[in-house]
Amino acid sequence: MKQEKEHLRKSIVLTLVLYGAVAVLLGVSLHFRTPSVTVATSQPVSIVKAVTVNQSQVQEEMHKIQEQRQEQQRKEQAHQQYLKHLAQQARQQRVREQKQMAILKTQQMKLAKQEKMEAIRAHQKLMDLQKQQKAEQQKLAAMHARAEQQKQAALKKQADEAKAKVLAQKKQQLAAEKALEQQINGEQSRLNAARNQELMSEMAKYKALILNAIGQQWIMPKNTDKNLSTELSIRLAPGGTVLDVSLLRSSGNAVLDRSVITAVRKASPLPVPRDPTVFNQFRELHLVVRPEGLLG
Amino acid sequence: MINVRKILYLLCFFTLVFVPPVQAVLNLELTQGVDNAVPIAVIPFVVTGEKPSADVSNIITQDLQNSGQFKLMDTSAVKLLPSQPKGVDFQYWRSVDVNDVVIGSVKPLGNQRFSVTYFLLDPYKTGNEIISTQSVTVKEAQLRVLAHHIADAIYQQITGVPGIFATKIAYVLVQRQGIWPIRDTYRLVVADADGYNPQAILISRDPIMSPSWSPDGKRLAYVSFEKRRASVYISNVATGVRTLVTQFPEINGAPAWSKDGKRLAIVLSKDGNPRIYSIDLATKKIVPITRSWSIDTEPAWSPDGKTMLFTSDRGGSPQIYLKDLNSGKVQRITFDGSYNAKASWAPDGKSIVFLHRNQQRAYDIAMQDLQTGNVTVLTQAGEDQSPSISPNGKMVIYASEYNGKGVLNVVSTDGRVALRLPEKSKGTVREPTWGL
Repeated sequence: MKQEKEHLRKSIVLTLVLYGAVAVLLGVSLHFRTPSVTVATSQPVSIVKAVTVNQSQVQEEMHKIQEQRQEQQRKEQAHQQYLKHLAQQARQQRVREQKQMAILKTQQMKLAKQEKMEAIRAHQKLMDLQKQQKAEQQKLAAMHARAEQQKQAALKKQADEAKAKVLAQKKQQLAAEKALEQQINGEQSRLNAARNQELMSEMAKYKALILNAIGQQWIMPKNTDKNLSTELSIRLAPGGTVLDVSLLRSSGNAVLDRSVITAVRKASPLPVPRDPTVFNQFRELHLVVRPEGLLG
Repeated sequence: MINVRKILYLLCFFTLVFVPPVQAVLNLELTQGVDNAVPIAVIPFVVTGEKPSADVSNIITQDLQNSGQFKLMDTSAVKLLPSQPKGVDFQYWRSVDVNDVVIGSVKPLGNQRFSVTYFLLDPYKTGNEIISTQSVTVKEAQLRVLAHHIADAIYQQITGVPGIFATKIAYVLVQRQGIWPIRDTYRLVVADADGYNPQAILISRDPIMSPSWSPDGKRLAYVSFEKRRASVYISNVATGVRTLVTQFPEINGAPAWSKDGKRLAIVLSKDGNPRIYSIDLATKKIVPITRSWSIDTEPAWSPDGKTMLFTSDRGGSPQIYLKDLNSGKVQRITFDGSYNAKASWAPDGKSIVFLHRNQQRAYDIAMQDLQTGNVTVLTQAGEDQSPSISPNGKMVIYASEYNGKGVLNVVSTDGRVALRLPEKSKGTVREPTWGL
């Protein structure tokens, strides 16, 4: 801003100086015209003082004078012509000069304009330059910032990568450890799974066999509310012998309760697996009884 | 410290890795059983001293046998009759898959009085075999009824349903006398449910029809044609006192008790064709129940008293209809067969029993589930009549023809047993009704 103001002042001063110069020049040209006019009028005054001689002589003189006069006249004429010519010349000169002045003026104006323009341009240029400089500076700053950022990012990335690397290594290590563990446990769990599956199917089979054995003995009391339920606890000896049947929860219907207990007793020995480990699952049964329907 | 930790870790490891041989409780769910007869052994009761006229254990055996719910085991192998539970060879009874064992004793107390004791035993409850026991002292004449009561108690203990062995039935006995002129005698008879102890409460030269037990089992309503006109009477069974209910011109028929015993539904033709009316026994006020131009007869109040079954020919043939006594709406119930009549209710109100004419135009006893509409034909004799259902809903008594005369038959509603009641008197039997 400050710079711009200074520029404006400079250009104004420059313009004023230029106008001053133009004014001086115009003044000079006015002085120039006045002497050309005075020169033309002072010439005939000095010529009148050198005359008068005898007759013959006078004649001659007269003649001479006449001749002289004529001569003078000629001369005068020539002079007049010359003056005319001069005047014309001067006029021409003046026109030329005027023209030249006009040209000059226009040139000067042009110049001034040019200078003004130039000044403006220069100012503009300066401004542009400044702008450019500013932009450049900003650009530079941005570049710097970016560079800094990139640098930082790079640094961070590096750090992260390093961290990730460590982590990955850790993970890998862990996985390896886990894999090792699994490998260690794998055999055991596979064995267990197989055993469990076998156990489950064996258990399901014997569960169904037990339910059928009891159901075949269970004479369902008629007219019993189908929503009733009884819970029994049954203890079995190896081989399926019913050691004990106890009522965990009565249905509230003594006939229903007893009908099931009798059925369990009559179904003894219940079908149980021979494998002692599988049989262990059958040592104690929890039997829920609902009188829903008849065996098909 | 480190050792303890190590041990803990090891423990954790072991519990995780190995399936421990746990003694877990195995859960099972039983939902289906069988519909078999319950195997039961009624060991002949120990009778000390003089033998009474009634064989108590034999009556119990017969009752249980006739119910269709039991399989009576052969007890001939028992040489030494036990009078106490400790004398029972439970191991033997378990070995033949018996569910229950009955033992007892009959001891004369003199003066025709007897002390009767019975035990219902569970051979599988070792050391705690007694399910129920009772000692009763009765006169000799009551031994039979006592035996029925013991049978009822056993029946209820095992099936959860009250027995009907000590209930009474009523029927009309017609005896023909003389060759010329033939003279019929009509008796209104009350007997034990097994047909024993028949006792006439009314004897008439004129027809007796449609006996009906009051809900309390103390009175009988019936139609008598004495003096050649139909009248409805009520007789008190214990006192023999009888009361006239209606004696309108022409039809006075088919009396049926309301469940509170305060009203009778009766068929009267006093207003034209036979229609059903209700008569208040205290006020004698008569209210019409049906008002159609057809013949409406054989009313039967539902156990809840809200509806009434009756027979009507309004659809062309005799069919059973149900009237809602609140709304007055009537709906036809039977559609299977061209003749359905004499409907009576099962005590739970869920099904009805009625006379049904089948495709061969023979008359059978049928049962219909009111919810599903399913009809089960219970008998196939072709000459069956007048079904009446037992108070526990398990048996139906009906009149049938055998050797040219009317007899009483009983069939269980599950169709498992059908038997003929023993003939206790000469003559033909009609219109049985099962009371309390």
